[in-house]
Amino acid sequence: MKQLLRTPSLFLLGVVLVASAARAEIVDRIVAVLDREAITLSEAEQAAEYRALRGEEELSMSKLVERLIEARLVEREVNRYPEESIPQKQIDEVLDAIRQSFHSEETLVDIKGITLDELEALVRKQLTVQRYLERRFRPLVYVTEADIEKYYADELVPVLDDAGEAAPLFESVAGSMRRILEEKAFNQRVDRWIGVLKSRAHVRRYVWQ
Amino acid sequence: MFSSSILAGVALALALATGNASERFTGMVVDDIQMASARGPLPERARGLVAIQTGDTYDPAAVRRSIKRLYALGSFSDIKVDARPVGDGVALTFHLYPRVIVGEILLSEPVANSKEVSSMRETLLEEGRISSGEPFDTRQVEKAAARMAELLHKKGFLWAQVDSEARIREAEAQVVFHIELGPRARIQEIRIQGVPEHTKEDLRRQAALKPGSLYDEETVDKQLDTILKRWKSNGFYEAQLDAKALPQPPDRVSIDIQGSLGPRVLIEAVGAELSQKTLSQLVPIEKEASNSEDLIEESRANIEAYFLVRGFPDASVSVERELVGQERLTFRFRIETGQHVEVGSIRIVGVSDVDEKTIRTLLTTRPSGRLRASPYIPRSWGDDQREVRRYLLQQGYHRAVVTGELESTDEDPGRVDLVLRIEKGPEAHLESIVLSGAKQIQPDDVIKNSGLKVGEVFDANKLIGARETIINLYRNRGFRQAVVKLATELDASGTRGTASILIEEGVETRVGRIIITGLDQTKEQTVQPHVMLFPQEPLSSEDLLETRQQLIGTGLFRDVSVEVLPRDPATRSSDILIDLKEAPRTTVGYGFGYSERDLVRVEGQLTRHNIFGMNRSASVFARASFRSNRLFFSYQQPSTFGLNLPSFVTAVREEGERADIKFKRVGVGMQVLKRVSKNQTFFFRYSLEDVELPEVPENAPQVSENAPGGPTERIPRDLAPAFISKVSVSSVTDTRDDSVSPTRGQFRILDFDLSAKFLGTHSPFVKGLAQQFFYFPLPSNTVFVLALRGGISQTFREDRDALIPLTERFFAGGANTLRGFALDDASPTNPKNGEPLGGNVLMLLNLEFRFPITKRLGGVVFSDNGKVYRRLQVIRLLNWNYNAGFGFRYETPIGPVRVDYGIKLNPRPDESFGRLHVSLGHPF
Repeated sequence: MKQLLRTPSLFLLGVVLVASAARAEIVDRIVAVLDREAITLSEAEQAAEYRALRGEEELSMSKLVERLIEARLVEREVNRYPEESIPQKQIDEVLDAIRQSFHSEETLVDIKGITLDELEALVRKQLTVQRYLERRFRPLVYVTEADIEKYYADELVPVLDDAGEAAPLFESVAGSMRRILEEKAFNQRVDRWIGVLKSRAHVRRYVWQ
Repeated sequence: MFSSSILAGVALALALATGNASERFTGMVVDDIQMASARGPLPERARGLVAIQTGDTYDPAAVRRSIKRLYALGSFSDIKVDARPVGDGVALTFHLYPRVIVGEILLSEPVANSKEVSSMRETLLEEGRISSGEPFDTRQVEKAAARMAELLHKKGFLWAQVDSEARIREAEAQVVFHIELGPRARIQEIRIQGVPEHTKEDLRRQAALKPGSLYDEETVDKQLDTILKRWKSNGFYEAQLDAKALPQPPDRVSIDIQGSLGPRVLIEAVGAELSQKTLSQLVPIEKEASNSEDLIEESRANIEAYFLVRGFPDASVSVERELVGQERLTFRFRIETGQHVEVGSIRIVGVSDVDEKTIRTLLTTRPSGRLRASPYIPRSWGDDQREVRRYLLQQGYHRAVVTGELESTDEDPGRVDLVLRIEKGPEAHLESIVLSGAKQIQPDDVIKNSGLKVGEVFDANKLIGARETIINLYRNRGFRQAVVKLATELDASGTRGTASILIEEGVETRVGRIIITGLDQTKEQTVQPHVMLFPQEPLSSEDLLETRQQLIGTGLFRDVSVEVLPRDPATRSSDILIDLKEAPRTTVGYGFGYSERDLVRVEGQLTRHNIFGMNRSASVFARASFRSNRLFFSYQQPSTFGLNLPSFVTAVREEGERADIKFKRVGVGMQVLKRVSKNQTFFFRYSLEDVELPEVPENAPQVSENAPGGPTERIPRDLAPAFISKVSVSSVTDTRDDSVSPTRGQFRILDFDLSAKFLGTHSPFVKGLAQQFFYFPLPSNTVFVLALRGGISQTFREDRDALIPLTERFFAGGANTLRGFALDDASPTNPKNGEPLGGNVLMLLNLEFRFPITKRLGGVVFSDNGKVYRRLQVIRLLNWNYNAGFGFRYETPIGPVRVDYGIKLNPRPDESFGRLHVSLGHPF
């Protein structure tokens, strides 16, 4: 009986496998359009692989596409004012960090389906964009003592109070708070700027499953 | 157990199916590629844009590239690619969803035909801001409906609703707007608040708003705006008026007007004399109808600057604000001018006489003269010092110190003598150029292209220019991200400079596919010759620009965009997207006119461009009046016999009366143009012209030199009766820097005409004309022009001494040849009636100096010499006409307006002394 039960299940499994093997599968498609430029599913998948390689948080596909749109908008701006290329040494450092989590380059390529050339190009692109944003927005970021004090009183202390922990001395955490606030202000500026870029561009997002 | 194993299997299968499908096919051979269109046929070019072919190994990057190219074509709204295993290989299908475009746009009946809607039909459609031919987008159509509804609300149809419907047929969407108009609101009551009682009545009266009248938001706004402007023009700059409509169903509306007048603003200037006109210009409060803080500060600064540039270096202005009750606000500009100071003299110390002369030309500060006082303006004097230092830096004096000093005398506190003290220091030269980072272009080539030379003056500006040149060199070789850094160093002695150039070449980008979109009528082969980019060639910025300019230059497109798509690291190339918007193919022009000669004149022109999509054009021009009529046809094409030889065909038929002479003219012409280099062009022509004067005897003066007599009227030269069939070859060489006002280069025209019997001509002849103009730049923006012109012709008639046909003869005299004479009056004349007959030989030599007087006004002095001879045998060089003269040129956007006076140096006893000519453009 058990044999009989197993037979149809194996048969069905076989049917499903064969059917899926013979069925046409979408290998790539448009997921968004930025002005006249198409952004494809394979690019989004590649971005997901890259995030995984860098140990970054996993994102839903729609968020990934949004990030790709934003990255493309920033890249356009970066390309308008070319600067010196990122030193190879800096790129190699990032690549080494990625390689360390794999046994060899072959393993890395086999597992992630991303060529070394593509990976290097992605790293270069990301570092170029990072540098551009730093150069453009970092000098505009300024946090006052009053901002830090406000953050300490309005945000840090209440959170610790709620958790039943004693608040550290202001002086001991002032430096960390400054960095947090600077980072926040920096990100806000970048987000605002990207928002402006988006509003100027014609963006169309596709719905797919 | 059963269910769990099944589910496990299905889950496994689904996991395989929904995973990264692309990876599974990587490395397999592509057995088949299909293109499937969801609607209608595929555009022809689509297949050519697929970057993968049957037999290739499956490559996800190639599939991605194909999608991007296909989308860039602009014909598809969506693209998907699926893969299916076939044996050991894979079959790919590109699913293409053609872009739907907006077709007809309609307003639904019967509302569309109602009196209210039909009168504003066009306005409504315009407000929708969608038009036929643009990509169909549901959201845009919905937005259009919302905008239309808003417009109707503004027009008083406060309860109007607009819905949209799209009827999609194949690749076109018919858009229909359904309008429910509802009643038009009438004003129920008007409530005014915030202004005094007497103003309320004025407002009611001026706005002409009455309960019971039809409501229209635009009219209400316009009326309130007019009132507001009137208030502001009376000085109430803070006045405000806002209206709010409150619908009262079913068909009424209340209007709430909230107003405030604010204080009346007055402007005063005390402490110095300022006319009301000047004060209004300096204080733009009235003009801007605002008294904001920024505007007040701007006004204060304007007044201060006004006095500073008039020689009051210590002038200062402050503003006082005085509010009297709530009704009057006075801005009082208090001016303290201080002492008026003029520049007495300017002394330059520390440089040679030669340098001093040059440096003086750099100064904007001038010493006072006998007739005009020159105010002392500290800012200008400071700018002068910086300008002199900048100049010295350019000359290699990097240690130069320039200081300005003031010497005032107690005798005259209103006068200051200026001293410009210059310490030039040592002159620096470029001792070495250190170049690093140049790998793809030979370092020697980079330096050669930069224009830098060791040993030359160490000029910072030139070095910066060299950096730009190197960047351009790389950009034009496909290194689009190339960065060039320049560091300069001067040694301790200040005499030797080093330029270090560091090049970050970046990656090379080549041209991938060239995707041309937007072609509806125009053939791609018509566009191709204008595309200066070639696949696999380095992507050059210059070529991108040139391509765009060439495409604009064809006149076929109203918009041209050349875009570089993102670089594909796999192929190291970028696809180029050329997006074109075709210009209207048919243009119609017409006009009416009146002239004393023609009385009423009517004319029209019909031109058809881009015939067969091959950039060919044909035009018909017709003009009719009570005196004459003219029909002119022209046709032009960019290539002839498949070669890059633009050609033109013209035909004309004209009949009428001019100078009391009836004429009839028929002509045809054909011209082929061959550009052999950037500066040289050849023209090959054939022309046939038949002019008949039905009422003039054939042997009349000017028609035949042996005429016994005849009408004394001068027959216009172009109406001389003739039947001329001729072939011509011309060569034009032009190296001038500017075709309107050249300052250097040369311009040469060589013409050869043959009118032989075998061509059917009635007057056989041969003729050659050579014209050579040289332009030499001289110091102080002066230009010397040398013009040489020589022509010779001969008939093939039995009487070899006879003149060639009148229209072909040489003439001299007039604004462009011998300026001491009136038009043609320096030509041989008919002894029987004194009319100019022209001749078979022309010799002219002109010399002209052109120099600037002011920015737009120029002057010339010239010498015109030469003569026209009846025939070669009678040439005597000593009996030339010698003219000299002077003139002025005034630059206008359409070229210089010219006034010349030519004087005859060897006039005959019965001749006038000279001649005045007024015309447009230089003579040569």
